[in-house]
Amino acid sequence: MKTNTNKIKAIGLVSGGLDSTLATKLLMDQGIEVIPVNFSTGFCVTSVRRKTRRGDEPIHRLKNEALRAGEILGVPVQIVDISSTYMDEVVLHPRYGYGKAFNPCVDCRIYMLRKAKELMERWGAHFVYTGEVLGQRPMSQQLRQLRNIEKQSGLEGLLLRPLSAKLLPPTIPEQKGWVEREKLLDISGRSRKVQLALVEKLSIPEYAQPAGGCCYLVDHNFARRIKDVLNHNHWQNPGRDELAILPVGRYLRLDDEWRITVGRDEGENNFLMNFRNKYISFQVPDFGSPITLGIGVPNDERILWAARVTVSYSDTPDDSPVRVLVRYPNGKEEIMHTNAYPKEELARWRVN
Amino acid sequence: MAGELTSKPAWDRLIDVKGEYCPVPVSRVQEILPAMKIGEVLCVVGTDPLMIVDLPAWCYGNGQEFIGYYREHETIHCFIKKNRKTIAE
Repeated sequence: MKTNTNKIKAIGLVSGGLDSTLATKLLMDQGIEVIPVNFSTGFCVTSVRRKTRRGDEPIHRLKNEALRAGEILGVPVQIVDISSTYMDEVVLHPRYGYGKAFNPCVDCRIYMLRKAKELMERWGAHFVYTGEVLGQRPMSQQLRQLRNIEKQSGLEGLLLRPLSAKLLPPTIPEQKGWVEREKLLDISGRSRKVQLALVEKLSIPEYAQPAGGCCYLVDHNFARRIKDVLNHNHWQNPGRDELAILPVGRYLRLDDEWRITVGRDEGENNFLMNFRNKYISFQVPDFGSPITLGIGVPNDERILWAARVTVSYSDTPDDSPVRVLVRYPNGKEEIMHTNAYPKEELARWRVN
Repeated sequence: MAGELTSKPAWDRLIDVKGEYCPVPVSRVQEILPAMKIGEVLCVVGTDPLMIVDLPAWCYGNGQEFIGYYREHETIHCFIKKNRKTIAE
């Protein structure tokens, strides 16, 4: 652990959204040296939007939101990649269960705060803060759960929630006078009116749009997909590549051992192309066509099915057979001739 | 913000993050920079087009200098000069 200097330092959990940006600014205005940390779980909605961007979409709009906040506030945001352990240690077997979709919010919070505690000790900081608001989210931000999360994370007394601090027991940073409690806030509930008014008062020029929804695990469609994968995979982690592809494109399953992902637009197709050396890919070369990836155990029947679905989502004008390029991970290519399924037939294989 | 360069400046260390997306380019810079001396230049070679907005933002917040980026076919070379100690030092 590094030696503390006189300056009070705090590690923050920061997404770049409204609440964590405000919490950071409130502490900066009290002279606290903040080190905002953004944990990357691999399930970030913005991150997938970035990977599947269309060629004509301006890139500055897709800047990492936490880094954007750091740039605006002039603070050293650190990006910490926890995706290699997050699936096994948080998502698969959450102690506190899932929310309405596949979201283990309480376990996620505890996990991130434990990581933040490690960083606090490593970087010689004094406490940890978050942008959490009492009562804003049903699963992880009720009073009982906020207290439990603090305890389970090992940060008892050292976890400050500046936006709701006056509604919570005083923390060690407040008791020791590192932070003036009077200058902290008493926000509760789901409304963002107070926060939006503060944005102007504190001169914050830009922040990621409020509304939550930044994590795929709260998305019901995504939840159906990940449950489908896990149910066919004995609840074993399917691995980094499959998880990366999971939110993208249309998702269809033929049987226990074979499913496909079909790109919906140029951005998704370009992204899926990156995985052609890992999975069998399908494309209709003579018409506008999606890229399809086949995942599982291939055989002749499954490959034909994937080829026909690809034709079904292509711009092929009628039911006549067309050429389908099948490319194997070893680079071998072959041409098949097949036609589209009737549209109504596709619905029975769609997982969402 | 420093923009596109017409030639590659000299560098002291190079990291290859081709095929990787955010957060890898930034997190790799965070890993490597502490081992470099102040004044040295790091070259980050990758294919994620968003490196050219993320890395300058990271540099600005972290007090490091983003010199600029250079495109070579489908790869992007980003150049970062270490201006000060990092958080991890």
